[in-house]
Amino acid sequence: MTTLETPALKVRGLQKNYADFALHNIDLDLPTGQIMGLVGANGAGKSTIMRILIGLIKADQGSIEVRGYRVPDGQVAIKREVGYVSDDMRLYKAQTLRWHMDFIKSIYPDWDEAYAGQLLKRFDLRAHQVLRGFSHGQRVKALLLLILARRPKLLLLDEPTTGLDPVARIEVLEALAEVLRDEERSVLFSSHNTMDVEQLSDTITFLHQGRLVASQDKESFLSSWRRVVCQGQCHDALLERVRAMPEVASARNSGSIIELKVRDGGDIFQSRLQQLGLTITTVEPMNLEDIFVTSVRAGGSQ
Amino acid sequence: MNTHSLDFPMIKLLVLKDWHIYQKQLAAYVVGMLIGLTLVSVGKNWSFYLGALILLVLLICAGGFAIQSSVLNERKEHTLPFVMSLPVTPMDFYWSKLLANTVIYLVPFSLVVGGTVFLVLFTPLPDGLLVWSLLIYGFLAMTFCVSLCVALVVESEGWNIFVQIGLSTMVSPFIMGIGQIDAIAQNIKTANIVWSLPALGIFLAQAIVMLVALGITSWVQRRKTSFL
Amino acid sequence: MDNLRALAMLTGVLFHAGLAYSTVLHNYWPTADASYSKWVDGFVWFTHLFRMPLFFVVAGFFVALMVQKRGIGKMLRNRFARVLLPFILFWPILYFALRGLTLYAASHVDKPSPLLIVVKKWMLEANAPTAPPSMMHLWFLMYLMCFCVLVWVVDALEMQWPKWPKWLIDAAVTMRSTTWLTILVAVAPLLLVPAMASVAAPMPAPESFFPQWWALLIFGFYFALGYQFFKYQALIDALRPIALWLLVGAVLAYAVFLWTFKSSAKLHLLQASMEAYASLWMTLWCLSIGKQWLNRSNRALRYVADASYWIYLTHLPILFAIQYYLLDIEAQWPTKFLISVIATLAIAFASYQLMVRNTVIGRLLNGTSRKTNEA
Repeated sequence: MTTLETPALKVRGLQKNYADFALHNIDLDLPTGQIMGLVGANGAGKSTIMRILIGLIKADQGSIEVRGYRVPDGQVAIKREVGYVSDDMRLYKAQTLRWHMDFIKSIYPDWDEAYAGQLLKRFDLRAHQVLRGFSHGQRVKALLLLILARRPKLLLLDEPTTGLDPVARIEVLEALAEVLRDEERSVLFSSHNTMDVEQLSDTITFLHQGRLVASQDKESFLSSWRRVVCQGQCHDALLERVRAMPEVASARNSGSIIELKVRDGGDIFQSRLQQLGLTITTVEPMNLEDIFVTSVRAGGSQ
Repeated sequence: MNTHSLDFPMIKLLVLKDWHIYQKQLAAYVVGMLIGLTLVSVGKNWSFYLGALILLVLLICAGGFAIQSSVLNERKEHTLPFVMSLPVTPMDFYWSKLLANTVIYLVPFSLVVGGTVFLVLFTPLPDGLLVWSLLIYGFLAMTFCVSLCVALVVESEGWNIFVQIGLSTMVSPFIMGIGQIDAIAQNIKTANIVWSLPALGIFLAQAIVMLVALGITSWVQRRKTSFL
Repeated sequence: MDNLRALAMLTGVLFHAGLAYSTVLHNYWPTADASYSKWVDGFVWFTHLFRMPLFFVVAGFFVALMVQKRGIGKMLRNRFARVLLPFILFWPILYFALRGLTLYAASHVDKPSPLLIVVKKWMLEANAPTAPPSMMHLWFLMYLMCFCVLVWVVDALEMQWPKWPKWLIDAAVTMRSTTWLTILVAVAPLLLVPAMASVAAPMPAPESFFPQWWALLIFGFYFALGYQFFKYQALIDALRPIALWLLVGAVLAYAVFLWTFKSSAKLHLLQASMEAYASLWMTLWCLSIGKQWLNRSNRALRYVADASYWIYLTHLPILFAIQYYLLDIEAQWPTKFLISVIATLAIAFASYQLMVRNTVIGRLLNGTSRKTNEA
């Protein structure tokens, strides 16, 4: 049913309503072989989207296809091909890692015991240790081992590096990078760690308060944001006019220096600034963390 | 993909998983049942009552424990996302819990019922006790079934404990209640096994309650929008 | 071990056949014949003392083997399929067959046994008590199943041997000291005495559906012994130097046991002790001799071993039918004994060959592979 042409994810008009929160009209596309980073503040809806994709929650509206299978009808087929790890997922603490591995092995015929052995060494985990004795980082690595060793076609990772020490974080990122060498395998992961998202992702999806702010390839996304420093006669009215410009996400002044963070601020925007009497002194790219903080503070209105 | 077909191999794996995870406790129950049955067979009054008490307590505890451990703990210990991310539908998961818990309960239940039938029919105990005993066991089975169904659909641990305890406390009033029904009470001390209309009616009511509880649970489970 | 089991099974047929001509059970055994002898008691009760313990030792040995090869889960599944399932399938058939045969015999036999006379009286009474169903000779299967489940319980509860018994056995194995082993063997039967003293002598068969604590302890001891012998097979070899003494000691203990019945004094504790010694020492002797003499492939023994489960299950109704018939025949007990044994075995083996060996029943009882462990 699925081929290389089948996208890993195809979401149209996803809606989910709760009493205090709602996901509005989410569209996502993840081609096979790509990695998408899902970025957003706490409560933006990242985990909800992941749970809907894996069939743990039913959407209220929308069309969702994972690996060519419709959610929720094809959830069993999806779960055979998709590995899901979330921050709130726990294993059976009275059992050993080895028991969990044998359990997963009995369900998934593609379980790769040799690869599982490599991951054990790489993650520095002891198979015969009871899970109760695992630290948070070890538990996350154990969960990752359990899904990586069965070679799923799509990984859905909800905050995989949150709470990990730097060494563990690097181990996980290296393991993910290895996954991505296989062109048939895709990853959707959410993280607060914008460095990881920036480092690994092909596509960045930005969520804020249940709405999709942006979903595009990383280069386009990053290049659409700029930090623009201008100089000029700063007064309140001028600042209000600058802030009202649709491209401006944030504007701060310090005396005659105005620092703007803008999205899609091309030549036309720059000439409008000049028409207001401002001289542009610096235009420089922004990193993802900066974009993230700016957007959240701006209320995601961009 | 037909969402209504059950994956029996997966259900079996999940049932075995539950039995493995709780095998320490199950092993303790098995030892308890062996001790209870052995005491009953010693032939002294004290050993008979002690053995019977052990078996009844184990029966009630095994049911409550099974529900607590295998259903409620999945939510409490946050292992539910792990299980539900496996290639199972919510209905597979639901049926695996039903099956795992029912078998855990049926083992001591069958021993206790079988033992009672044996003792009533083949010892000097009046045969008329049989119907009365089976009515009580039917009630215990019904309370277990309802408790299990509630645990499968209601997420609140508080409500679940309330239901389990509430149903357990209704056993005594039930026993007193059937003792007030002439058609049942008057035959208890006789050698006659009388399947009176009220007795059959109560059995039927117990069976209906169990079927309705299971039916409602299945219906609610199918309509759930969140399986966490 | 398989060969031992086969011989023990054949002895079982002799035992059950002999009971019809026993003095001790004359008033209780359904096929008790008018011709009986205390010499029969001398033989049957001797074999009774070690035959079932030997079965449990062999069973424990094979369970340990299975646990090591396949793990506890697979062992339990195997035992459910090979022990519990045959019990569930065969018990109703055998129970109603034996019941039917006995009721028929009570009505039709001209020279009924004392028990058949009582049964006939009950049949005529409206409110006669109903004898509670029992497991009959299939009690071995239920106790075996129980012990297999207890193996799982011990594993699940992560129970360990207390240090000192392990130390004692390790010492016996590593020191290979005959003296040390002799002391162990001399003292070990005392463990069985309390349980044996709590029941009548000779030890009855625990046929009740309710587990009997004394049977759990006694046969559990032998099962555990067999389980340990798998781990410490060198111990069986270590018995060789004292094997003859074991046999002599067992026979002497049995002789004292028989003497206690003649005495008017209440010597139940002595009886139980002698039973325990004779039982354990004969079992150990059989294991030692079996390893020496039976540890080879022999087609005849292999066939008997394969057939042994079927014969164990079915021999009793066949035997009863023949012995009920023989009740009305004028002959002395040796003739009747020989006829009943030969006829029972002939019918049992024939039925095994024709109906069981290569059929689904054979696969149910013996599994799909007939490879078994020798001696």
